[in-house]
Amino acid sequence: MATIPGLVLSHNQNHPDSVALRYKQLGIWNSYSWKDYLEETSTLANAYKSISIGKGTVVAIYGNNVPKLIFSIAAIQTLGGIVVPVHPECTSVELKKILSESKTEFLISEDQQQVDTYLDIESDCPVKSVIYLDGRGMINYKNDKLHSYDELTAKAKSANFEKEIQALNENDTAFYLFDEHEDSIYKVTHKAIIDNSEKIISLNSLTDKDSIVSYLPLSIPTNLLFTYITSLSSGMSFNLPESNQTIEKDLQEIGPTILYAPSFVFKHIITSISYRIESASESNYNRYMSHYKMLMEIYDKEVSGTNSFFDKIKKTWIMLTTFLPAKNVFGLTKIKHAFVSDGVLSKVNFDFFHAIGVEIQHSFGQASSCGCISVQPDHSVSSENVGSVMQGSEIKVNEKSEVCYKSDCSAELLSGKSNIEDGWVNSGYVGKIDDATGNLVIRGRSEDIITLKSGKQFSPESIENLISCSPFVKSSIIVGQGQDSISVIVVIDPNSVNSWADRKNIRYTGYTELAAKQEVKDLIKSHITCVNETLESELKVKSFVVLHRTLVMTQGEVSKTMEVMRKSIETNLKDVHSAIKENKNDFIVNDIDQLSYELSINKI
Amino acid sequence: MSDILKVENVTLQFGGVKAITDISFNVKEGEICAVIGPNGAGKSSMLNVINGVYLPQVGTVTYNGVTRRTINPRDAAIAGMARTFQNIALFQGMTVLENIMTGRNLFMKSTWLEQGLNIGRAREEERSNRLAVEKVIKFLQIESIRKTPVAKLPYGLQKRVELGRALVAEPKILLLDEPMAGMNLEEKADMSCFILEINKEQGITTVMIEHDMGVVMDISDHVVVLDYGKKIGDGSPTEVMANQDVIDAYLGVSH
Repeated sequence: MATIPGLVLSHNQNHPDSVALRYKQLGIWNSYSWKDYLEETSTLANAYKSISIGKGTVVAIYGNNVPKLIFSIAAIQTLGGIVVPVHPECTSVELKKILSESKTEFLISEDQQQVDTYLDIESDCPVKSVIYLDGRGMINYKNDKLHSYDELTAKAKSANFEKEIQALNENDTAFYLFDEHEDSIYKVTHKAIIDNSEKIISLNSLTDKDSIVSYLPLSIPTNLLFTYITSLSSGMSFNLPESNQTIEKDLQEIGPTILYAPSFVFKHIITSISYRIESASESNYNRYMSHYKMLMEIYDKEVSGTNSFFDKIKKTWIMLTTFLPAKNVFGLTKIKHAFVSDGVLSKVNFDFFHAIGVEIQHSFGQASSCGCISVQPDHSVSSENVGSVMQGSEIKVNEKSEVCYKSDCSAELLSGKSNIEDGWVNSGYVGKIDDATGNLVIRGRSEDIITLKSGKQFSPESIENLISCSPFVKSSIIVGQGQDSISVIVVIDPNSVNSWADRKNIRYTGYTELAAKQEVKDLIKSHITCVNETLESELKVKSFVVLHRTLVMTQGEVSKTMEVMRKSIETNLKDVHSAIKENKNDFIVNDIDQLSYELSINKI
Repeated sequence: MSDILKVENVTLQFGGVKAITDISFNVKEGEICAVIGPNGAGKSSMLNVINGVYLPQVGTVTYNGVTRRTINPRDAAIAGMARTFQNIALFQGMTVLENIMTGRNLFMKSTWLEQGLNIGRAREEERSNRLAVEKVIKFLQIESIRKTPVAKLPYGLQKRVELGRALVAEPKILLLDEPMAGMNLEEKADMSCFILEINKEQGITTVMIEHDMGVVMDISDHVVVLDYGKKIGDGSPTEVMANQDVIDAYLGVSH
């Protein structure tokens, strides 16, 4: 019987001294063996039992990945409880929805930020007790529901829960997962999510010798599956960074063999390389640029099978002098499998990673499919598709080109709008199945499809992907519904554009002024012009606006995996949308910060 | 609450220039006391008198029940006084970790030979001092710049590192000389939170020179106002705000 606490128990029996979890604290990596893991979860289970957490109790885990929260998951499930992972940056509206619709009774939160968000909506949800890990800043809080984790666990003793763990039923609900795109909550059983992880493990031959760094919150369903569950199923070590600001350094120190990340993380690596190079010395800048050009030329030859022996020697040289050190900085040296969910990387970025030996395996999954429905095998990676459907699942494309699937590892809807049509789950994405290979191709969300005045329909994500592949562009939003032509709102990347501006001796005081500089607009214009060359005439971008600020997650403008959320953006930046529709040149935006900004529409 | 610090009738003179004239004020244990005043009012000189950098011609400083006219700055540090400076005084070529580690100097009893060879007491000292430094790094949320040379950091972060160096000395009283000078709004908000937490949660008495009136009124329990080396106001923020002499000193008077 495979359950999450059962996996911890079986690893403790099979290899008690292997490293199960590593966590950097006060600058030092601390390891927990499987024996320690079981000990910690048993002690915690005892403490949680004392506050009446038991079978069927719904407990939300609200915070970043820290050991106390990670151990809490297995501890709660040992008692038969159901865990609701909640993103630490979620808005109070989302939190209210999650807590009330899942009927959460206990909330285990990381620190003051999460407690404050909860207190905003306290009266609207059924939570009986809040346990906080870090009481910093809360010395004057007087609320009977708030309890310190340290006080709760101080007197708890380890107990043997082996019988309780063995009595757990694998078909019991383990998690309630929130899908922010669909605004729905799903019930996930132990069996479904563990079976799904085992498919990934067998497809990629993952072993307990592997290691993975989990730096995104487990509330992201794909992240939960690919990092937490997969590490528990395979027995590989699960590594947690010191803080969100130290991820890059922590990745370098651990050197994981498995990497899971949404596409924005890989884009961030490219951007980081770019801004470091922009601020490097002239000789290093020129060397990098010439090596990059050579690398991509050799890569093209490799793909077409025309690379010579001399090319191989040249590649070895540039890898040794430039790209291996760069890979090491980002902790990519030992990577065997790099999984990406939420869409595909643009071809330029994909080719770069492929050229330096990091093979990106695209996948597709949602909360309703327990995090994964299709994944590319490592011998057949591509930037064109998201792989073939996993064993035990079926996939089809309906008459509206929407991707629908059936899976033996699917999750049941707890609350929200049902997306089941004739026994098939409608993913809400449009796409196609490649006839030759059977691979799934995802074009974008069906609700995002734009219809131009001429009747031409297209997915904005495909063009946004091309525009956002520049290291100078953080994100882009295509606007064109019911219009003659396509426009784009561009959000510049502060780091890389800062370094570029410093190199060009452009003076500015902050982001807003930098974004308004003519030189920056020219930089963006030249990139969009290049992108336009690859697009068919009707889909060419005719104008663009450089936005005066970045998109804000807490305002719901980007998802937890940094995908643009069009509805919120349209509401928050309605002045920009109406100026584009009215074809104005200069216009004033009244923004959510109650200030006004002057922006202009630039023609291409 | 008892007074941890009493400044009585202090006069400090540099040749013919009187920097401080007959100033007296008390700082209660556990409070945040702000010393404010226009440029040249003698605020930094006052801090320098308190921790023994300057020797006043007249007057005494009573700290922790011990009255004296002067004290060696090292003895002041041993007695639990730590401070930061108006112009950042960090070792620019050293990393953040190394700079903060220098604040643990008082806790290092081993010889340079033991430290060089990492033997005997030096090993245990290194471990305990590093732990204390790491706790402060975590508290100030500067983990990501732990190994970065200070010269590479923006001004606001350097100020934070300086506060860290003062904190690892485990002070009873913290003397902060313009901790928020040159910072943007966000950095000021962060620094205010750190000062409040140090004071309210760790119970460290704080004497702070600050020009930002918003910050002073928000976070201090007690304000002392100096002008041309003389004390013109002393009381709670609301009392000081209503004091006509203070208003005149800040806004000027017509003659």
